[in-house]
Amino acid sequence: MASSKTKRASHRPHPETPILEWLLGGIGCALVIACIAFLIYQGVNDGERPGRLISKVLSVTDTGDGYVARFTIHNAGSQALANLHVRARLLDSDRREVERATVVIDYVPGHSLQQGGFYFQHDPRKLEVEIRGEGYQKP
Amino acid sequence: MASRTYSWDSERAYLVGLSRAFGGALLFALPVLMTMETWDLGAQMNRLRLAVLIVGLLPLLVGLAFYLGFERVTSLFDAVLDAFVAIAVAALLAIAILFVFGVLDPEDPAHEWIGKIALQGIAGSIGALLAQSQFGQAKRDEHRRREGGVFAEYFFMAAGALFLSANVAPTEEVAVIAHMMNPWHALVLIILSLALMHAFVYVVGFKGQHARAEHVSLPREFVRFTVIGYLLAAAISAFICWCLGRFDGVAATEILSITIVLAFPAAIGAAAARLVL
Repeated sequence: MASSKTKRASHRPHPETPILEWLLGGIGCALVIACIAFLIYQGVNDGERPGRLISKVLSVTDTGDGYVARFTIHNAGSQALANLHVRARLLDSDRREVERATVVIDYVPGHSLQQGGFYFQHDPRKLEVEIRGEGYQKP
Repeated sequence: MASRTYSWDSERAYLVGLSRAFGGALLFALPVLMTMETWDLGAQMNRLRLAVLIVGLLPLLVGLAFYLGFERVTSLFDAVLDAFVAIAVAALLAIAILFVFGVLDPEDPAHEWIGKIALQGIAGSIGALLAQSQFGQAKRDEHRRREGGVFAEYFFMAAGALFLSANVAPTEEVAVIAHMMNPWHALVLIILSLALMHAFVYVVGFKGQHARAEHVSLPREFVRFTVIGYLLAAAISAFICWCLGRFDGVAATEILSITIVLAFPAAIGAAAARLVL
């Protein structure tokens, strides 16, 4: 008999919703709306366009038996790149190739930066360093 | 007694429930949080499909909260609030854990963050919701479970199927297994899924086993719950695979076998959900 009584009380809507529940519910609601809005915005506007690769030599370290040139590569396109092959060439003053090194970068998302290093025999600080992307796979 | 004056007791009780929700989210989301493919997929998958996946999750969470809730307390509005709380809990948890793992890098672009967290949130929010309402401490005689009927059973099956298939779908193995199976294997897997589903709920005697009503014949019960449940599981598996881009550029026969492979765990999840919930 007690249960039939409590059942009838159900018509009073949510008797005492704690403030904390409101707060977290609000956060969840805002997250979902923001997330969906952002995804739709991205999906409609950005698409997946490949773009320029911008690279920069960060530092050169003398390892004793050669040199390591640490570099960053920035993917300016919105297309994520997998298995990005990057080639670095050391050029002398006549732009003749002295040495080359390559690296494969696993994954560079759109508008993102990755770091890596090239091993050289010659000192890159005394030569011109040219870093170029060679190809990628769509993830 | 039922005065509207504010009591901090309900706040404190809610805090306890909330910690339970975090516990549930952690328990359910941990396998996904520690699977590499889910990080990459979240960041790489088609943005609009990810949005569709999240939109599809919402009614499921609300339905779960509604049917799992207690009749006296849970109105539809409360269920909506509960669903959003579960999402907030799952998202906060995913951010915290992925940050500790070093998966989330502050330098990563926003869309990577959002993708990674959103995909993790699926399993976590289901876990949070279950822990919140299922493992609650409500006294049995005071709070009666809502009588759900057939539709509630379908809802639970869908939730169980979604949970397990969302856990498994991001892994490469689904496509690999589908690739290794020939049509006979696929056929056996369908029969196995159906048989296990039925056995789970009606035969092997787990706690919560359903007794077949006297007037309902076995074939009818089989069609009404097991077959429909399997189709539900297969449909949800296909939906998840599509969202994750698993079907892109894949031949129709391969699509079918991928669906059958993923429908296996989904079917078990659906059957288990009927028992547990």
